[in-house]
Amino acid sequence: MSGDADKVYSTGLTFAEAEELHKHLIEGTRSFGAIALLAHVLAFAFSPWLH
Amino acid sequence: MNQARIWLVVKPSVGVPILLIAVVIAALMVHVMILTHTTWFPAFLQGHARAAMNLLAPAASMLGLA
Repeated sequence: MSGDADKVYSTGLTFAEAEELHKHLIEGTRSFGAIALLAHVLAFAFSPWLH
Repeated sequence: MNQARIWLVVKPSVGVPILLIAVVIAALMVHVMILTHTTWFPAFLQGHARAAMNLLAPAASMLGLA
């Protein structure tokens, strides 16, 4: 895969561009996860859930 | 981090919105499931109407509302 670094694939992206996009997606997913974790902690603390 | 190649197969202008909408649908399903299968979630949304009414009673009677 790394051999043809300049190849433009059918989606119009090169491998480097796909990696860059995916990095943002992973980062977004992590912040979503952090917010969700906080929400679950608050739900556990302030609701009857699991008590 | 090696899943990046998906964007060499799926156009990001198609894949990213689908991914985000799927997350929204999943989240809504979980909230609706909890809302419809617990008592405390609807109660939370209901709030304590009676306490609120007690606060408003004097003003309401003054205005002839209650």
